[in-house]
Formats: sequence, C-alpha cells, structure tokens
Amino acid sequence: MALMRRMEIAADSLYKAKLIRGFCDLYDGQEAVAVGMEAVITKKDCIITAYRDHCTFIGRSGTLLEVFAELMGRQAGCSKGKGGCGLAFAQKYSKDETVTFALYGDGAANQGQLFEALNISALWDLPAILVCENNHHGMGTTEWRASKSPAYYKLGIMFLV
Amino acid sequence: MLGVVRKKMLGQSLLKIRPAVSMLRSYSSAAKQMTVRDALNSALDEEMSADQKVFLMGEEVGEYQGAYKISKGLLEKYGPERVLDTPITEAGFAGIAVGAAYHGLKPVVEFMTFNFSMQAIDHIINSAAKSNYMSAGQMSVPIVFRGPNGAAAGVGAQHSQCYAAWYASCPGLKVLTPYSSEDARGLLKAAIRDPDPVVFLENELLYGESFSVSDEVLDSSFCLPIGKAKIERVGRDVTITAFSKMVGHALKAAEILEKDGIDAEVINLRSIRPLDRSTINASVRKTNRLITVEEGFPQHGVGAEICASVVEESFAYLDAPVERIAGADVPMPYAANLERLAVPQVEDIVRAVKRACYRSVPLAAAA
Repeated sequence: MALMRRMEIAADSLYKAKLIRGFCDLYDGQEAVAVGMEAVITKKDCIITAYRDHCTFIGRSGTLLEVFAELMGRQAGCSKGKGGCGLAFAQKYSKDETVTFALYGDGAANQGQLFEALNISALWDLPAILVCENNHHGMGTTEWRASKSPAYYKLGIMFLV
Repeated sequence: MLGVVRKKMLGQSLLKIRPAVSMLRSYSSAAKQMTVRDALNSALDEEMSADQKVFLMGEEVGEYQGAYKISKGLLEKYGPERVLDTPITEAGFAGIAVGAAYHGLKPVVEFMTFNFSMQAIDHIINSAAKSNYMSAGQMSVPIVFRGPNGAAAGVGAQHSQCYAAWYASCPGLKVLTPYSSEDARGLLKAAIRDPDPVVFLENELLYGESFSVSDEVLDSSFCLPIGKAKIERVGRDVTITAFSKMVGHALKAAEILEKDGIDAEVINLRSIRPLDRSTINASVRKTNRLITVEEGFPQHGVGAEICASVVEESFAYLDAPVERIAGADVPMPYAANLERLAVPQVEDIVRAVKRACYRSVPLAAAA
C-alpha cells in the first residue's frame, strides 16, 4: 500500500509538471480496496475497473515502469465496469470456477447500465462481485449532490430473493 | 443536389418485393434457391457447431425462435447456455457480451433493430471498437453485433434509421452490409470468425427474399473476404454503388437504363468499413460517371465518403459530377405514401444516371 501511495504522489507531481497529459485520476486514499481484494483472490480471477486504476494494476503484478510509461506516453482509457459482468459470464460459460470483480465508483453508481448489469448477473447467477469504491466524489461532485440515496451498498438488496 | 426528386410516379408496382434477378457468376453445379433468413440461420448454425466459443445473445432469440426467426431452431440444438434470451436492456447485455469477448468467447449479439443499438453504443464504440488499439493489440474483441438496419415498412421514425455511416466512421469496427443470400452466409461467417468487432447490418425486408446459391456457397467452409465489394453487373457507361436493399433497386434501374442504351455497372459494396475504394475507383476510371445509392440520411452518409474517395483518387477521370442518392433528410414518416417518398426508388436512380449521362430528357426522338 505504501508503494501505491508513493506512486500516486509521484504521478501527481508529474501531472503538475505537465509530463503526464490529459487526465490523471489518482487512487491515494483508496489503496486498501485494491490490496484487500488481491489478498483473497488468485491471479486467475479477473478484475475490471475504470480509469482510476494505477494501483489496481500494481496489485495485479503490474510494474511501476509500465504504469509510468503508460501515463507519460498515453493516458490509459477507461475499461467499463459493466464489462466485468461479461468476464464473469465467460468464466461461468467456460466453467472456470473463478470470479470477476467489477469495480465502479460512487459517480458511476447512479448509471442505469449498472442496474442492467446487476439484473442480468443476478438473473443468470454469474460469478461477479460488484464493488463500489466510494470516495464520496464523482469527478468533482460530492455524492449527496449526485444521488438521492448515497447508500450505494444497498443497491443489491432488491436482487435478493 | 441530393438526388432525391420527389415526384408522384405511377409505377408503384416496382416497389413490391420480387425475388431479385441473380447476378452471380454461374458455377457448373445447379443452383438452389435460399432466402436470406435461411442463409443467416444456416451460417449461425454452422459457426456455432464448429466453435464452442460462439454463442448468441439477444431479445427473443431463444424461445421465440428469433424476432424475425433468424435464430429458429438454435435454442433446441445448442441449449440455453449458448442461445440466451435477454431482458430488454441493450446497454446491459451488450456490455456483458463485450466482457465475454474480452475473456475469449465469441458472442453474436442480436439487436432487434439497430435503432436499439443506440442504447448500447457506448459499449460498441468505447468498450469494443477501441480496445484493441488502446491495449496495443493485447486485447482482441471477437464480437459480432447484428440485426436489421434501415427502413422497414410502416415502423416509423424511431425504428427506421440506417446506421451504416455512423458505425463506419469509427476506427476499430468493421461494418458489413449483405444483400443476397450468398452475401448473408459468407459475410456472417467471416464476421463470426473475425477477431475484431463487426457490425453486421441486415435488412428486414430482405429476409424473405430468395436468391440462387451454388453448392460452393452452401458448403460449411464458405466465407467471403471482408473489405471486398462485388460487381453485380458489369457495365461501361456509369458506375452505381449501393449496399443492402438498394442493390436490388440499382439492378432494376440498370435493366430500365439498358433499354435507353445506357450500360450501368452496379457495385454491391458488401463492406462499408473497410470500404473497397480500389474496386470503386477502378470502376469509375472505366465508366467516368458515378451515382451512389443509400437508404440512410444524406448528410455525412456513405455516398459522401465514396464521393470524397473518388475525388481524391480519380478526379481527372470524372466526366460528370458525382451524385448521391439517399433517403430524405427527415425522420422517417409513418404514412405509407410519405414513407415511399422518403426512401430512394428505382426511378430516382434512373433519373440520376440520366443526369450524369447528360441525358435528362428521355430519348423519345431517337430512331
């Protein structure tokens, strides 16, 4: 976690020096989510996340060199958290006995497609674990200004039969 | 000059769907008739049989046998794990299919029409099309998005749009537009086998049309190359490009024009992205005149791209301005008479060709 923290602080300095262009979305303060997740899964399980992913990449055995090369050459794009349920679908289809973590933030938690992905995953019983990384801010907007109910962890309740 | 002249014509009988004249090269073996529906069904069946990773997902594809019966019999044959009925949530199931493709499966996603693909367009473009490039080739997304595209009959503005131009503008996608049963079989097989995302634009009104297919086409290994157009009718005087249903209109127009001494070359594009610029330009260099035909909206359409390509590569060979015939620049009307006026008709193509040949007055006085 300490390595992740120092990496993100260094990235912040590079961004302010304009050596990292475009957007730079940092994960400092959230390291425990990525590390905690990695502690209980294997490398065969899948994780899919969005653009705030430098530390998640490190958790998956990415190297610092790869992270900085990527950031300084070309900003890594967002993979979609909804694709995570698709990875879980493929794991079930191939009878892999692995799982997928689909990560999303509190900002994305208000999106309709999340509900669609949750519905299909519950309906088809997919090995998907949807993780809301709630840092209370969606880009710049605080959660209570974006959502009627910021208790995002309650979203799954309606799918329990 | 958008080439869509709105005049009431008496020849509305031309609009009735007839089996198209087959312009295939004849093989020595006897030709059978096959509808486009059966062509698509057989292609799906054979590819699912050959590769366990291929599966079909969409609304009504399973128990209903397919909204247009394209997937008839597949649920019974392959089971519910490979033929999946989805809720009416295009963003959700398209996203799931793209995720499955990330993991190495080969999804075929059916949209009931491509109008509904707009619900999932973020996944088609950002999750599927761009991933190979963004991952420096490490991720491939072998997915096919297929379904009816363009105008049907009386389905109104929100169910009649043609998406060929929209999808074909995006790098990372391949966009195919079959016309005949041979096209349907060969291109769908190619699409399923392709490692990249393919948008496969069918046409509801073509599903019931029959075409001759040779034994070669019926063979399970049959496949057409992506990115190659087909010259359906060889000609000398003018090039007409078309795709999907408009190929039939172009061929009928060519028959009418033949009586007036104009020998039209008709190109069936088959592939909008990649566009077969070399075949189109070679044809224009031979005929020196070009009419493009499409059903979709004129602005930023396929015809505009073809015109630009010809101007870039073959300008000196043009003897007349390129003319594009497209659907009317209005949301599709529901009223039958207005709908007919909003979609290109055979007469529009004939008139445009005559303008290109500087013969806009019929040759009534000719001996």
